Amino acid sequence: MATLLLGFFALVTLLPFIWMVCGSFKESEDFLEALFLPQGSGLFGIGWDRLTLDNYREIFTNERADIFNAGMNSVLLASLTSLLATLAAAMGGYALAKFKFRLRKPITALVLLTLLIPPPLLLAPTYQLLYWLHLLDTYAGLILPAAAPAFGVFLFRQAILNAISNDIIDAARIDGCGEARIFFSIILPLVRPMIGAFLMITFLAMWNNFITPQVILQTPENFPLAVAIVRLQEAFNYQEYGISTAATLFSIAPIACLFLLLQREYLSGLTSGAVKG
Amino acid sequence: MGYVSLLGKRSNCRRFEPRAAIRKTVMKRAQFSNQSMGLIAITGLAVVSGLYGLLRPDNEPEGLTFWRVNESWDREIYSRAIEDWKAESNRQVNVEVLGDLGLWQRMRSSFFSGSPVADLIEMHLEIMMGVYNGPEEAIGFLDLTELLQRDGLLEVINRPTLSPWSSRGHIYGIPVTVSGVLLAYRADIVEEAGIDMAAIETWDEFMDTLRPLVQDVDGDGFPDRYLLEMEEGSRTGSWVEMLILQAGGRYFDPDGKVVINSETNARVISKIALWGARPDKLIVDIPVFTLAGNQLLNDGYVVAWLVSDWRTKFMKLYLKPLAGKVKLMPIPAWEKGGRRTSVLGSRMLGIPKTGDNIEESWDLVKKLYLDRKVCRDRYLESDGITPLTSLWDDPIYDQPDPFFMGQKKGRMFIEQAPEVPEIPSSAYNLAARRAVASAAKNLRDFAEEKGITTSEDLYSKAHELLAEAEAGIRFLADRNSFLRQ
Amino acid sequence: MAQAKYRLHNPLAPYLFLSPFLFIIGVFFVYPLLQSINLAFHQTFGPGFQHFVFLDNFLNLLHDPLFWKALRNTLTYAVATLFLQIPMALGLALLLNQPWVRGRVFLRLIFFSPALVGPVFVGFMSTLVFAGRVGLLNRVLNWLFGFNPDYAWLQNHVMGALIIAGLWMYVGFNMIFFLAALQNVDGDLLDAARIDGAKAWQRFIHVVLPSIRPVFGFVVLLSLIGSFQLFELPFVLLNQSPGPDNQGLTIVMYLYQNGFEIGDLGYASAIGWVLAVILIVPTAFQRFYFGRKEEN
Repeated sequence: MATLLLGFFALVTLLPFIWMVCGSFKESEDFLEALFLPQGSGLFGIGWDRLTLDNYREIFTNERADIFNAGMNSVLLASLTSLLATLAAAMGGYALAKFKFRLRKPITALVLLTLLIPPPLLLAPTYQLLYWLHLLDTYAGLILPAAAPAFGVFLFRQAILNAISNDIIDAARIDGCGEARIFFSIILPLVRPMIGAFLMITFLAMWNNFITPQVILQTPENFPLAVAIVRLQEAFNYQEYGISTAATLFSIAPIACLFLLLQREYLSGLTSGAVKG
Repeated sequence: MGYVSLLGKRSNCRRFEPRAAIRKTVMKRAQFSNQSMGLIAITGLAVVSGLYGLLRPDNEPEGLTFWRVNESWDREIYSRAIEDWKAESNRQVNVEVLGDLGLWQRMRSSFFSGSPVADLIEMHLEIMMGVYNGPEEAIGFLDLTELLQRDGLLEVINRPTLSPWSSRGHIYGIPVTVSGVLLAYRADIVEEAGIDMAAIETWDEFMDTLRPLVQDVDGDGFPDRYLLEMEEGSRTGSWVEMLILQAGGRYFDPDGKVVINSETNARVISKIALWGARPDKLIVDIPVFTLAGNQLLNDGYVVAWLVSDWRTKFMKLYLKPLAGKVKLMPIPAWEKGGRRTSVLGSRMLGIPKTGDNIEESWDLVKKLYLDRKVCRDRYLESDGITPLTSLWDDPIYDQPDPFFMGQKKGRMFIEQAPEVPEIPSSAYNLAARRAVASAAKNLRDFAEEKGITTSEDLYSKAHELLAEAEAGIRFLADRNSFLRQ
Repeated sequence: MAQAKYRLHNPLAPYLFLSPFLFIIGVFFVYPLLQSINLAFHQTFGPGFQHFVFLDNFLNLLHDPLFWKALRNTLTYAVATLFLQIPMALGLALLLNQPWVRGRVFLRLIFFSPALVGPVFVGFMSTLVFAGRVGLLNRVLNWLFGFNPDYAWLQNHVMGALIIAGLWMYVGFNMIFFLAALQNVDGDLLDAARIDGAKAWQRFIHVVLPSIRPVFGFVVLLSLIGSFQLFELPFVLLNQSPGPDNQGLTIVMYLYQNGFEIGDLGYASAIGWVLAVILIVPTAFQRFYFGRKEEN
């Protein structure tokens, strides 16, 4: 009974994906006719010969789609942001966890304050700021504001507090190790799970970010997938469902691969904030 | 108070074995196996995509740049006309095709941020309306009034067609087509039922005569045929607006004052609500211009629908099975002798005032929109009818159109063109459209709920809903201190 | 031990480690935060034109029917999230946590997968799923129950469509947290309860629920914050519009419309502040309440 229920939920969860995979191989006419695969005389009563790769070919070659280019843009934006953000967050988290200095309390308070403010509030003033800095329609205007997330500082502070004893750091200092070397060769390896998790968290966030690029970017060649895909239906006069599904699958695929690589760290990193308090 | 320097003494440091220390203390926490895979993968991705970005050819456009909305069917006409113009003027033109919303987004943020805009922009009405809501100096388009006067064009453009492109006494764009509206109907279905469409003059007659055609063919309890395509939800509100404009109603008076709650508007939306109300439902919502919507039209889900000149081309492209089965007629009037056309959308060409090549841009505008040959091609290939009254004598418009069973489609549109209602330009036009369409939808729900069957009984509720809509739009307009000056 | 550290490190070191974070947070958080207060007292047209209007933006918001509509829509969605999503997520986590379940890691992956896709892509998928005649939902319903295949979800029941899409997307996401918490529940305590003859639901109420309460609070807060910031899903689903009769207008969408379509960054900031005030209260409560516990 319970197995059945689990199976049912799994099916419901997967059904849209399956439907889209089928849809992406169908011609326009079959899209309207058949729910999943078109019927025909082939194996299992399915018209295999009516399936087509055209939709995928279109998203790579049709200049109106430009989905491949958008995919590269997304990769660039997400990977750069996640690398920078993770480095900045690890450094900041380390400083707050393992140093005693006068501004520690106020800065920790600032981190917590940052977590309280909903990001949409900052959208309008940030837009104005980027306008003044001449950073509208640039990747810098997208990456910089995302490159030092308070959430990450908070997570790394927790992780470093939990994972690393002060003795090891002091031992290294006594041996004459520089602060930079301590950070890179002792601290970072010890919080590696958190690095993986946070890379994935920021990568995913940037990949799925829509509102900021929508507001800040203007040149279509620079659009990431999230923006490009929204424009896609329009570019085909709302007539090409097959291309739309193919493009959606294409935009999910990279993130799915990365997730499979990092899922354990990602999931435990995500829940660590909640479960450990 | 000695402390170790920031970089440390290299010799000492080398002796320190971090790995060993870690192993001793916290071995169980660190998992060395595959955790850096993510880091390596993401760094790799950054490098690859960065290289791609760097190596991507950066084509700096030379000459004029021209942003166009994506209308696949007249791309050919443009490229030929532009090639001609390039040969004549010895200049380059770069055409960039964008979707409506994409174009709007890009134009808007460029006007806001002062970043480079194209030299010419062709766009739909909906986009243009959004340009008017700031201070006058923030309207990003060049005032063309003087240029039009100088070249003697003001007199020959169909006046009502200019209305949406004008604001505060200035003209900011040249309309591409008249965008007048006729009624397309399934001649095969109507004739089979023995109905004479020529005898129909008013909407009431239309609904009464065709009522028997609403049928549940396959017996599943849902009718498979309705009389008229509507867009009952307020996705755009254009369909309700078309009928209101036809009846002589409007949302704004010439001074820009909100006049939504009027006698005419109430009468029109009461009728629309009644037509759409169950159980005697005559009109139906169709997701217009989408694959699903086309399928419904092809399946004969509705008998008639409103078409503008450019939409006939859309029909030829996406409603192919209907070729030779549909006919056009002037739309039924609201009362005998009343106006038998309306207006649906339109495109215009404007010149952003920040451009460096204004004279050349103007020259290209004239070539693209005012040249006899280009206008003739536009009709032949995309069915669009030029707003230049001086070109309407062209015999091309008298050619029979096989898709419409040999009707002289062009002439039919042109006959109605001078009657096309004006669309008052207002920054709040789109909001008003949506608000009125919502009012119509709510009125329909009200009629369904109370079982009302005569439109007179809906008037008071209609006024109530329109007053609500009007208050909403007035609220928007009053809040804008830039327009108050 | 704190004493020792003082002597060992360069006093500048923590500041150097913090400098990238501080620089960016200063420029892109502290400054915009202050500027958003300033902007809320102005009416603007794009970033270039401004008028000082003092409290007008806030007074207008009070009488703005669209803002109230947006608030009402957002609340509807948030309530649906709390009362549908979270119980479903908890139920799924309990099921999945049963000892006899095989392929748990795999199932967890499946349930989580929609969250990975992101609201934009889910919104885009949903335009296809909810489409009349061709859409997945109507076709399945028609096949199962003879449901009207042309039923226009995106005309008549935008909120219903949104809630369904939200469920699909976030139930698995929330489940992850519950699952992690359930795995920390004290097994001995459960065994003891079982030996004492406690029934399954009694064990759930008296043992499981108390021990996952912090996570429960966290998930509720996360969902609340998430649903109040709902934007991409309806925006993309409704083809970049608020939908028929503004059925899909949310607070953040209204903020976006005002700031970036109409160009009034001032009004957008005022809306942002209302949103912030709505969210800060529960967030601060949760952080304060559970933050305290953590210190002890």
